[in-house]
Amino acid sequence: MNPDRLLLAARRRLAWRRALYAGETAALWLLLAALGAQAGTLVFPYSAHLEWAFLVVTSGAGIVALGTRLLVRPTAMEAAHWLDRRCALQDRMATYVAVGGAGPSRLLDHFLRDVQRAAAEVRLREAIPLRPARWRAVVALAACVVAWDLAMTGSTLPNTPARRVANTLKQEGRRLQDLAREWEREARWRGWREALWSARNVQQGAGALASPRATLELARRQLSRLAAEVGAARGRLRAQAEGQGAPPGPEGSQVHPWAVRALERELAGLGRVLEEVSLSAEQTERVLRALTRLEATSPLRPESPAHAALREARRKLRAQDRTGAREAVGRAEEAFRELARLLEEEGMLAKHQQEVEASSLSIAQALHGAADPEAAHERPIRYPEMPRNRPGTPGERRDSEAWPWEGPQYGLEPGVGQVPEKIGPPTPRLRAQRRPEELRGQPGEGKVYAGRVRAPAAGGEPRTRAAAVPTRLVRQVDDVLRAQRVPAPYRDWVRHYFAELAGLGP
Amino acid sequence: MDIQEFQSLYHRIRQELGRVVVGHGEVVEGVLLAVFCGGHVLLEGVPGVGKTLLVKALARVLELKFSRIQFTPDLMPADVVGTNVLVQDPEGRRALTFQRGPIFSQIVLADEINRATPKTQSALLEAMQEYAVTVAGVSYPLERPFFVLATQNPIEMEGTYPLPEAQLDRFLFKLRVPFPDTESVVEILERTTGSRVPEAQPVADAQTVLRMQALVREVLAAPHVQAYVARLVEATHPQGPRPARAARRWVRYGASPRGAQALLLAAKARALVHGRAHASVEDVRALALPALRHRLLLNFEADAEGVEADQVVRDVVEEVPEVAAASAGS
Repeated sequence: MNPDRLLLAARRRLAWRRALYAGETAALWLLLAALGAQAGTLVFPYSAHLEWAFLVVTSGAGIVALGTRLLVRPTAMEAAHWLDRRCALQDRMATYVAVGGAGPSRLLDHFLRDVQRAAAEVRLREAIPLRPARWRAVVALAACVVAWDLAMTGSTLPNTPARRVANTLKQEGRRLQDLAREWEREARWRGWREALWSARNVQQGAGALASPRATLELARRQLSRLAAEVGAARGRLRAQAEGQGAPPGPEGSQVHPWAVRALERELAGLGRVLEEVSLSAEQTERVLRALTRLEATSPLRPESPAHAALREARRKLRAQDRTGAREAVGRAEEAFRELARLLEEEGMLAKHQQEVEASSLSIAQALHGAADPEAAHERPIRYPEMPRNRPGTPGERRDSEAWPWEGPQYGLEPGVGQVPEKIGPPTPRLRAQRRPEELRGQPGEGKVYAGRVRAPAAGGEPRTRAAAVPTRLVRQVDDVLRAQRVPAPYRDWVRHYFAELAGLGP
Repeated sequence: MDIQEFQSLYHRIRQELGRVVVGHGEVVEGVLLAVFCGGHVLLEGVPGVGKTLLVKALARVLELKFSRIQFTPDLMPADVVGTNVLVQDPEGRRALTFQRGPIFSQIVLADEINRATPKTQSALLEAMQEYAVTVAGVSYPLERPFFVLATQNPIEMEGTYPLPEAQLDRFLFKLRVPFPDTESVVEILERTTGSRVPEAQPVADAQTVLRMQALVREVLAAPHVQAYVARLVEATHPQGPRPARAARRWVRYGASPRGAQALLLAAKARALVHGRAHASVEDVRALALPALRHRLLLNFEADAEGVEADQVVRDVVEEVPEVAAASAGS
């Protein structure tokens, strides 16, 4: 090959080789950086994604290689030196480039012939191989990155932020798992399909949180997914409830399940009256008034199926069709019962959502160093058991005899339950905030909820007699409020209420 | 003369020398390179290793006039260069006539040069550099080619006068003549203790040597080779801009520009010997030791530590990169 052509080809090939070398070097450094980033997860709570690492390594190496190819162009002298060195040409090519094919020496012809002969023997592919020279190191480092991801993900060093977050993740995972198991039992028992599905979802997500390989990002993803799914399920239930006539509100249905249950019970009583063998005109008129009052006081929308059934019951009763009226009342009762079920199920899903958001908040606090990791690990937060209504099968007809509530049910459903320890005459209602007020949740991770308290406190006599509240109950309330992470404005309200009840207020 | 002829002559000279001198391949090559460069050689070795024999054989092979000066403490400069003597012609007229000394030869063997006083050693300076001798204001040119091949004994230092730096710098090479190995000694015994002692035959003459010297100067030396030589010499200077680590530690004063000239010229000669019309970095590296070892002035620390110039030169050669650009992309 002509020395000039050889040099030209060598320059091109050398440029590619340098590009390859630069890319390889970049890959090595980026892989080292990836390993460093993975090692950093032992101390700091962040995630080092394998796929991201390899994407960065590959693209970085490619960019560096391409940039080197485009920007760095070897000179003829560099190519000549390379050939001299790799092919043992003893500086023939470099001298050829330096002399430039012309000179005063008598030996020039001999030299040119010598260079021609040497150039003809050069095998360019062997002289400038385009094989990656350090692929073994690259592969070894890549294998280390993969091995680290497989073996060390989730590992943390003691007394580090990463350990603190990892402990919180495990702790929240276990807590949500416990709660989800309980929710699942309850949902299965009540036959709530959406709640059952949500509980299983939460249990599955909590399992991922509690696993040793859980990372902060995984936890965030899981929790936000859970919150979204539970929110979607709530939305479906809310839509169904609205279809049943429940008025819509910004944060859910504005009608409470206990109000619907109360209507249902009242209707059940009317139904029993309608089943009487003989019904005087006065009794019929009272039933009609009761039905009218019930429709007027019902919080449901007028076009709801329950209201339609009530209207039909009134029409039938006026037409002396007691059987038809009875059937219409039954349909209304069924509609109320279904609505109550929907609202209760939505309430349970709201609880799911609240707990998931509480976990998000707890993890966010751990991330910002709010808790001592070791202490938190040793002293898991115990959430107090919330009092629950007595279980009953859906669709079960419950009459007034079946309502001797046991245990402290006060505060959950107004007007129901009995408190044996309460003594003394009824106390007047305490004065409460009467003006509407904006309340906001505490800022933390996730969405901050805000609400407007519209309803002023009701006047008149309480339906439950008040009793002296022991100081320990006030403290218990404080503990519960603290554990449930109730936003400060709510907490103050509730505490103030109980403190005044106990006579401890200002 | 072309390269083929040069190589042919070189091989024949080596062959003839090989009939007399057993072993010492590197020394023989070094001496011949110095001859082709027109440089002088300082041979250092213990007595009886064939230094004088090599020089005498060389003179015979190249068919050059040979003289030997045995340097002793009482040797005077006039004993080397000659002197004016009063001569009376047959008519009875008296006139001063210059009586040429043994320096007026083509190959001068300065045997045990370090035994003479510095004054006598200095008598060689002009001859070695200017190829002329000046006596009583009259300059007498020396016949070309002219070589001084000096020997010195590195062991017996009592009563010797180490050569001054200026004198040492005039030598192209300083070659160490090692003790021959067992096979070589056996060969020497076989050749020299029999009834027939082999003799070298002349294969060249003075004109041939001069043409060979001229051809050496035609050899191409690329700028990067010259730069490498300069960089090597520069690295031997501890006060220089880029001294080598060894030079910074052990050297008091580095090689002179004359050393760089010697190194490049010798590299050209070596290239021709190897059939090339261009000098390479490899030639320079191969000859750095004989060309530079006697030009370094080591410091007290080196003397105290027993560090020799050879080690320093090796370290310098090791440290100085060939060409910066060549390492890129590896």
